[in-house]
Amino acid sequence: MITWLTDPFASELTQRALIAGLLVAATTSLVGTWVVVRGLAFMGDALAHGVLPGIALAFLWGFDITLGALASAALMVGGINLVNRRAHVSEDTGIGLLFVGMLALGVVIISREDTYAGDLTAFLFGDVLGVRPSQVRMQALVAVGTLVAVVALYRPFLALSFNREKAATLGQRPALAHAAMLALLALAIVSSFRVVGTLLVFGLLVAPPATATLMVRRLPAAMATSVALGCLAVVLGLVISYHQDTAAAATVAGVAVAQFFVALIVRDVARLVAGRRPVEAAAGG
Amino acid sequence: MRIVLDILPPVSLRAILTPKLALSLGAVALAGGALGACAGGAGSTVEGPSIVVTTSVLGDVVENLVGDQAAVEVLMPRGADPHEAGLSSRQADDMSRADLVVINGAHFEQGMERVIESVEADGTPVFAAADHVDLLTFAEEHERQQAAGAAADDEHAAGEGEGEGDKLGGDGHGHDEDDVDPHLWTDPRQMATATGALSERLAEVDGIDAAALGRATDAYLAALAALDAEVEQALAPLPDADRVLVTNHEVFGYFADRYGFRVVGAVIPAGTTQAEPSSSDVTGLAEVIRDTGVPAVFAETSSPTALARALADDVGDVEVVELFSESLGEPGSGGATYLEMMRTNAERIAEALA
Repeated sequence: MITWLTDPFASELTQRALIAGLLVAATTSLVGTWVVVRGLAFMGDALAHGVLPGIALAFLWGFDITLGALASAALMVGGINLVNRRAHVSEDTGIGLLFVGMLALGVVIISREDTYAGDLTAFLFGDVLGVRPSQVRMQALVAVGTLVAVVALYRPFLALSFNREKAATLGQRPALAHAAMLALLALAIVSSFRVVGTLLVFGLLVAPPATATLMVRRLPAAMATSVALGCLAVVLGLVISYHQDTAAAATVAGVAVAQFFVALIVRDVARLVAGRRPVEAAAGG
Repeated sequence: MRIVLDILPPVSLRAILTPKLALSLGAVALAGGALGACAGGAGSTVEGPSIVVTTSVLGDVVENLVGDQAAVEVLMPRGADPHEAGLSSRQADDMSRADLVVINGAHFEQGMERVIESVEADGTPVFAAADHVDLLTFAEEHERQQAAGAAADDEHAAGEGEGEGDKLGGDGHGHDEDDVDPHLWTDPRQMATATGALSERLAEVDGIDAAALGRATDAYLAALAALDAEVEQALAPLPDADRVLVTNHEVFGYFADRYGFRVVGAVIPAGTTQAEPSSSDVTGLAEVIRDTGVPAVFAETSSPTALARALADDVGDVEVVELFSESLGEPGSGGATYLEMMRTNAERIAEALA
C-alpha cells in the first residue's frame, strides 16, 4: 500500500507534477467555494475557455501567454458587464454570448495559423507532467496570494453572496467585491491552465467545492474541506494515472467529479438510514 | 484508508472532521483505492539499461540494435494516430528515469513535446533522429517534386503540377510550407543515416556491449540497404508519369523524394486526422483525382475510414488503398516491423498504380 502511493512520486518530474497539482487544487478550491456558493460556475467555465484568443494571439505575436490570457479574461468580463447593463438580458445570456464569441474567435485565429493547432490539446488538457520549476514557483505565489485575498475579503464576499442590497446599505461596496472576486477567479484560471489545462482547471474549480458543500455547512469549513478534497483528487488522480497508464490531467479531473457523486450517494444513504429510525420508532410506539 | 486521511493537515481539519465528513471522505478514498487497486503492477523485468522510445517505428529500430541488452519501452501504441498521443504519469516517469530517450523529433511528437523538453531539462539524454538527417521543408519537397514532374516527359505538364502545389499543405496536422517534414522514415536511406547516429549514441549508454551493438548495427544497415533496393525493384515497373501519390495527409514526402514520386495531398479538415472530411474537401479531392488521372488514393492505416467512405460515396470509381504511414501495425497485418511496413507499402503502391 505504501509503495503503491509512493512509487508514482519517486522521480523529480512526477514530484513536480504533484506539487504543481496540489498548488492548483488549493488555489482553485479557495476561489471555487465562492464560485459554487454564488452560482458562478458558468462564469468560471466561460472564463476558462474565453482566454483562448488571448493565448493564441500571444503565441502568434510572441508575447507572454499568461499576459494574453489575462487580457482576454479582462476583455471578457468587461464584455459581459457591458451586455448586462446595456441589453438588460439575464447574466447567463451575457456570459453565454461572450463565451461562444471568445472561444470561436480563438479557434478562428488558430485555424488561420496552422502551426498552432497541436497546442490546442495542451490548452484543453494541459501538461501537468511537463511543468517546469519556474511554473511551480509562480503557482506557489498565486496560491499564497489567493489565500491572503480570500481571508482578507471574507466579509465582503460573504455579504455579497447572501444579500447584495443589505451589503450596500451596510456601507460595503458589493460591485467592488464582485469585481475582486472575478479578478481572483481570472487569476486562478490563468495561472493554472498552463499547468493542468482548462478542463482540469474548471474541474478543480467546481468539483471539490461542490463536494465540500455536501459535507459541511460553514463556509470556512467548506473551503478547508474543498482544499483537502482537491488535493486528494490530485494525489489519487496521479497515482491512478501512474498505475493504470491513463492520461494524467483527465484522470485527476475525473476523480474530482467522482468524489462528488460518491459523497452524494453516501450522504443520501446516510439520510435514508437516519430517516428510517424515527419512523420505525413511531410505528413501534 | 488511514494513509489517505493522514494527507490532511491534522490540526486545522480534525476540528471540522465530523463523523459524517469522515464517512464521506473514507468512501471517496475507498472508491479511488478500488479503482487503482485493480491496476496490474507490470513492472519491467528485463535487466540492464532502460531506453524509452516514442514512435513504434523507431522502437522497432532500437529493438533491432540493442536486442535483449536493454529494456525498450515504446510509448505510442501500434496502429495509433501519433498526433493524439498523450502521456500517462507512468510513461512520463519512465521517460525521466530512462538511460536514453529516443524520439523522432522535428515536432512529430506534438502531444508529448513539453514533457520531452522537461525531461531533457532535468538531465535525461534525448536522441532525436531528425537532428541527424538532412530534413526537407514541405516547400523544398514540393519544388523537387515539381521539378521531377517537369522532367518527366509525359501528359502531366509542369504547369499542372504547379496548380496542384497550391492544394498542398492543408492536411491533417497543418503543415506550414516552411516547416520541416518529420516523416523521415519513409526513405530507407534517411533511416540508415538516422540508424548510424542512433547506434553511436546507444554505444555511450552504460551496460550496452559495443561489440554486440556494432554487429547488430551492421546487420540492420545491410537490411535497410536491401530494403531500399527491394522497394526500388518493386516500383520499377511504374513509369515516371504514373508516379503520383494522392494521400489524405502529407506523410510520404521523403519516400517521394527518394523514388521520384509527386505527392498530391488532399485536403482533410485541419486540426485532426480524425475529422470527417467536409463535402468541399471531398469535392477538392475528387478534382485532384480527375486532374491527375490516378487510379488509386492512399489512405493511412491509422486513420483510414473517413476518407475511404467519403470517397466511395463521391467519386465511386477510385480504389482506396491503405498504407502504413506513421505507426507500425499489429503482427500479421503486413506492417509489424519497419522493414515489413516499407515492403508492404511499396507492393501496394506498385500494384495500385500499375
